[in-house]
Amino acid sequence: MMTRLTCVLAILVAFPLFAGPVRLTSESGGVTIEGDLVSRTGELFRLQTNLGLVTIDAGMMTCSGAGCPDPSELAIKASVVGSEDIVHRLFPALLEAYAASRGLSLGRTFVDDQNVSWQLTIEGSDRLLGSFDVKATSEREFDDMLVNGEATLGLSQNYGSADVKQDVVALDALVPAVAPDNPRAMVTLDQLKGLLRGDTRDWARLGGSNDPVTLHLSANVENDLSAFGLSDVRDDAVLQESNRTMADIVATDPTALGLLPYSELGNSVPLVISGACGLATPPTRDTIRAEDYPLTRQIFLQRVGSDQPKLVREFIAFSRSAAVQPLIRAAGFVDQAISEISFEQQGGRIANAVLAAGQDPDAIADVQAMIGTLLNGARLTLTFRFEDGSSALDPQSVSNIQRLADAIADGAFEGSNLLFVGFSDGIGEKDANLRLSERRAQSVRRAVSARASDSSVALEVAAFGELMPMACDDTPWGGRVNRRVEVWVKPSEVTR
Amino acid sequence: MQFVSPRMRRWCLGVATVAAAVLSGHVVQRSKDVPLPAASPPPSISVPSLPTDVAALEPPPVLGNRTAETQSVRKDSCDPSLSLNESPAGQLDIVLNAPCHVEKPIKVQVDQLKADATTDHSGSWEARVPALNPRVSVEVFFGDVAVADVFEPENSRPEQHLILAWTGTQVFEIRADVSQTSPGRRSLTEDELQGIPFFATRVGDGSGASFEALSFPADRTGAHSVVRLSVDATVTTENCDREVATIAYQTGYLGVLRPTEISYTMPSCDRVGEVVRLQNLFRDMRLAER
Repeated sequence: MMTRLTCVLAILVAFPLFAGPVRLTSESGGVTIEGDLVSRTGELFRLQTNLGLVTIDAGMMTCSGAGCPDPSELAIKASVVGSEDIVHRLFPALLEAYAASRGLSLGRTFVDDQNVSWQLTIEGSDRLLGSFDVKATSEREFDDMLVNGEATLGLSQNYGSADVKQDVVALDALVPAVAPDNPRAMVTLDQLKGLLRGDTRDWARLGGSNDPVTLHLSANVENDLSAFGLSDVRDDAVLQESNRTMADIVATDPTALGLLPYSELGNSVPLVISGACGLATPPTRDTIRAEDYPLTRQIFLQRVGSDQPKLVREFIAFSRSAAVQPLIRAAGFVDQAISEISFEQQGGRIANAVLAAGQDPDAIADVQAMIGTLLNGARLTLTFRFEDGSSALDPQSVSNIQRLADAIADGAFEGSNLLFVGFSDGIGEKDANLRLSERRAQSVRRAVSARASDSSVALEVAAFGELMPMACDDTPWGGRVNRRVEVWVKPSEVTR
Repeated sequence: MQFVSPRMRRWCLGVATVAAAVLSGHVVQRSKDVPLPAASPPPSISVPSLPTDVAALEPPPVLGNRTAETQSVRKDSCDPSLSLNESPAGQLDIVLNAPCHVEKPIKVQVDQLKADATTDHSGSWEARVPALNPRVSVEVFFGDVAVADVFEPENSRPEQHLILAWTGTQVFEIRADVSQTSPGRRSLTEDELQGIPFFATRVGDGSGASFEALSFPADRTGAHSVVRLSVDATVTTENCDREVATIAYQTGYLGVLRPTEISYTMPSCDRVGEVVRLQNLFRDMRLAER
């Protein structure tokens, strides 16, 4: 008897009896499906309809009728992990933009500085669609929680492993920062390394005051140092628990030097790094978007698997859209909106090319040809760059392929032509570099063309090898900045 | 001897000014409790006991849309009246005149914000509050009597507001730290810190609902300043090891004032006297893009 009862209970638990009439209506009201709810797995409803058994993703539909489950059972619960700066500043901007695009209300419950819950509800009805529990984590916790499935989404500056799906949703950069009062505006890379290692311990060695240099670093110091090819740092560096604290200390102490994210500079100012050859690119929104600034970093929205609820899938897709870019910018991060830098604004780069040509008549002729090609055009902030020692595009550039194709499909370049312009570093033979830069430009053009095949915008290629360096080739990061494919937009009649 | 640098002095001044602005609002509010000789004896009037929930009251009569400086029509000398005047930094001055409700408790509702207060010896009550919406609704309840008005600021401009609302004893306080920026760049100056561009206020006498607000301009083109916003809570014997609940509001990136429910467990009682600083409750203000 007992065994039979247990068996019945087990069947009931395994196959709950939902049977009851339901009516599922899409958000717009344009689609309505009626039937008896037979079973439900998360947002997937199995209905017995006049047409037979159908399975419907009801995540974003309204359910009415006696067979509907309690609305609170349908609300999805997602968890988001990442560093404090990112999950508490970037994620709210993404979610706010998403809520606005869907006409949803956004509420928040604050538990403590590390844990916050966001709620998305249907405007006017207070029906909870889903909640996102946000937790600020260390890198170690982050990896564990994402890979073990404890977190639905992760936001990280580190490129995830092969089983992690990821999209670049924003950009940031590592920036040496000083107080506005500090008279030093630029250092060479070697000088900066000396400051970090402790070879240089007072600002007088750099032509400043006699004050000692106070070095501040974050707990994430190993990642920061690897960007400079350093493995050790002066042992009296002050480790700060948060970038925010470091920025405030650096901003008010003229002797201080800190390594900070561009998004968290606060009221401190960047110390521009130049190469030994004198070329320097300051960190600005445009130079970071174009990856011209060598310490640019991507922020990835990561997840494992593909079984996220529909609301989460929509949020992920929206996080890549043009609509979210202004809010990313408002949150202090660098967005990926495509904008134009006019030829006139690039006088410095052109001047560098002219200077690099020297007195060589052939080189001068090449520069003239390049100027003739690019004149009347504008460079897009989106640039394609390659992994070190590889012809493979870096993660941001992979993302840029689709971004550019989407912009073309949206008609952003109607009446214009796009010119993919290849450049190389200056290491090796000039002719080989020219051929390499052309191959890279052709490769990027093909990839974009494959995703925007029915566009009327002509996609053309030019290559100028090592003619217009943006950084010195004496460091790996300088060479990487120089190996690039720029995209120029020109009125269609003046492309050639 | 070590001297404080001018920059550090400005930083401290910024912090001190914000604190002073908030406290001055508190002091001004509290000063109305001081009994002063009345010009004429207040009329004797019986006020029914206050309902516990403002929402339970019948909607008060709305006197009509007002713009700029307005004054309610007074039917007779005993009728309460509201005067709503626009003031700088997206603020609204409220003056209640209720000569027949002297030193009486009132409940005030300004859009979604509520406060309990007390009229002074002449039946007046004044407050400066943030105008959170293009059309601000103000309601004041004296038991079952109410007066209400709406106000549409003429010089409405986007402001960033942050607000803490609580009931009973205040636990959290808004803290804003402002530092100077690089020479040659436009930044907040001491003069601006005195009143404009930001304004701090506190409304409520501590007997019930109160709120504290800080308002900044939404954008200051050409400037470059980050204002650090945090919330401080002092651990006391009354709140230690207990969950405290309150509501915070901040203008979002898209200009919508968004509520945040705070459900925070205070540190244990062996930490009485410590100040807890919550840095992620409000996002920092960026007064202009870099």
